[in-house]
Amino acid sequence: MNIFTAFFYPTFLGFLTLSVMLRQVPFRNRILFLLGASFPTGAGLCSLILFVSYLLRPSEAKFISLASGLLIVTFLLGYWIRYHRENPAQHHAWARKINLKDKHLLLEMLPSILGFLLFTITLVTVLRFYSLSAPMDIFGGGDVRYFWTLKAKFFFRSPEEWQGMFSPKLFWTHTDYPLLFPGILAWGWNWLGYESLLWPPLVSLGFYLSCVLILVWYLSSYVSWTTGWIGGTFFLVLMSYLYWTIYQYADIPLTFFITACVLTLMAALRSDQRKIFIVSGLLGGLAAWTKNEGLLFAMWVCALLGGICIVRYYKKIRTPFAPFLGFLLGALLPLLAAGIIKFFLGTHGDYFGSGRTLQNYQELLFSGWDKTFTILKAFYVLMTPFEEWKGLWGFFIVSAIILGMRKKENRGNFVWVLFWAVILINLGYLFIFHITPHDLAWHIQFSLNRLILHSGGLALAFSFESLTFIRKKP
Amino acid sequence: MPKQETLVPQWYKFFLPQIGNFLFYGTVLAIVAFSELPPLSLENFQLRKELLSGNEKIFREPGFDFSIFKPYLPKKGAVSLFLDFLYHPYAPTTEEFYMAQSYLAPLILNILPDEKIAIIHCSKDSIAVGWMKGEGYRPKIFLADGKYIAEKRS
Repeated sequence: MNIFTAFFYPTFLGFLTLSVMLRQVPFRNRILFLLGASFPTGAGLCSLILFVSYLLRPSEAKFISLASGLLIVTFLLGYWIRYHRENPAQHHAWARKINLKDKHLLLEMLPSILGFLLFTITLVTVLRFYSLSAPMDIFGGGDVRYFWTLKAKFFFRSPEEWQGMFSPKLFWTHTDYPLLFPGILAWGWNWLGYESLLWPPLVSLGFYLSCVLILVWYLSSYVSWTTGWIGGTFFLVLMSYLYWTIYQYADIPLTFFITACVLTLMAALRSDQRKIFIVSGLLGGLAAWTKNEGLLFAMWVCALLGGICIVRYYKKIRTPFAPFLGFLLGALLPLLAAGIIKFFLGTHGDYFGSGRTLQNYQELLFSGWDKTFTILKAFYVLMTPFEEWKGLWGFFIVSAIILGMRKKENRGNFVWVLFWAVILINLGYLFIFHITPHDLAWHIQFSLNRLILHSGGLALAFSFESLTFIRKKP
Repeated sequence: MPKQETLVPQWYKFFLPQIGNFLFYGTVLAIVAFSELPPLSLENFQLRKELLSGNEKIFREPGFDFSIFKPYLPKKGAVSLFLDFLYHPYAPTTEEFYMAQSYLAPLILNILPDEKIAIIHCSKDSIAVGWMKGEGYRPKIFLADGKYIAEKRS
């Protein structure tokens, strides 16, 4: 099998799944969204199918996972073709509107055309750099070689012994971590029939490009096309993301799922479409299926959405809790898979199953302000280097001040959800560092710079939306 | 007089968003324009060429040093591993331990001397012999200086 068929297959599965889920829903820039979200969604689903296959029948798991995936694709394709035959696609308003002889219209479109050109040039430059840098670290960074790829090797090399990855003897590999990334690596190797060295960097690149496209989708849908292209370009020049993509860390897939979950949640809240809440839930569930930090994120999103639903209840809006239930429905399968690992397979985690009592946690949390100041200082030190973040967190602070000044205007458009998502994600990490079982300085040094990545995409979307004072889209 | 009161807000409403947009997008475009990628070397081009032409063998898998043990090890289960230093997250040989596990998976490497078979991978023979004596193992197969397959004394 060719390496590109391995990439195309999850993309096609993701495309069909999302297309079917979003049928008959008014959804802005649908094609761009599908372009950005198809590969990660499909990859997440492939890893879930693989996990269930290994769980049910390890000896036949390779065949079952590939065959059942193909069956699902065939079923979805049949449904999709039938649906489009019965509901022929209508021309979009913009497609009818474009008249190349209209000079005024062309002049109006000039900034977005220039933005697109800038985006394309930057994208090509970054892709060229990636193709030249990835082979230098083809096995990925430390965590990738020794945790993520190791687990993928258990899946691929010995299907019958795959549960060896949860052995307490391998305590240092985070045995309780969810399996999206090892799952998709193993899925590709199963498809290709060998441990391809090209596959992990291709997966990593797929998630990185999806992060870019999902930001372009959101900003072009809710601010303007120009903002979309320039926002995407700005993400491309953030060295932190490119660096960790080259090293194939699972923080890039997690960044995608966190960003995509909240941005689709924004689309759902603004349109009040139940199906979009389900899509947002699926993406949030896949975040929880990627890393433990994704589980924490899923809890924060549930808290935010739960709060919004309670307000809906007091405002006497019909079916006030439908968004929350829709979100949970979407997140159900990945959450179940993560739950199976937490409660039945990898029961020796750093936090869950660590044997520490509530009193231990209480002592760690309230041991004084020194720890809090150390962690906050580390956040400051890691968020301010210009080479890595290009001033993104400065833009975020200015946007937060503007949000505070224009509170009334922004109440109805839910832009504050983006702000609170960023704050809550990082507050969660502040909390986790308080209760870490590791040496605090060592833990901060080896993980905080990657944890900050998770909310960066949302900070970018929030900044570009808040700091664009003349909008093209309502 | 009422005219003067409304003039200021109108001016403010018209120009402030324009100035705000100009400042923000001007800053962003300047940042993009002056962004640089790290320099690349000739090696980058050579490795990419090899990878894309399908020559994956020139990339040596981490833990390749442990390939000498592979023919003598069981395919599954667990074995103990002894390096120059005992396992500790900050010990100098910890990365070597991780590499060995990555290379030999699905065989599980135990940091404790609990398994019947052990891999001894030390820099000197004296360290290897010290581990075997101290932990109750005897040499089964000698592979190189400081490198043994050992088995637990019954």
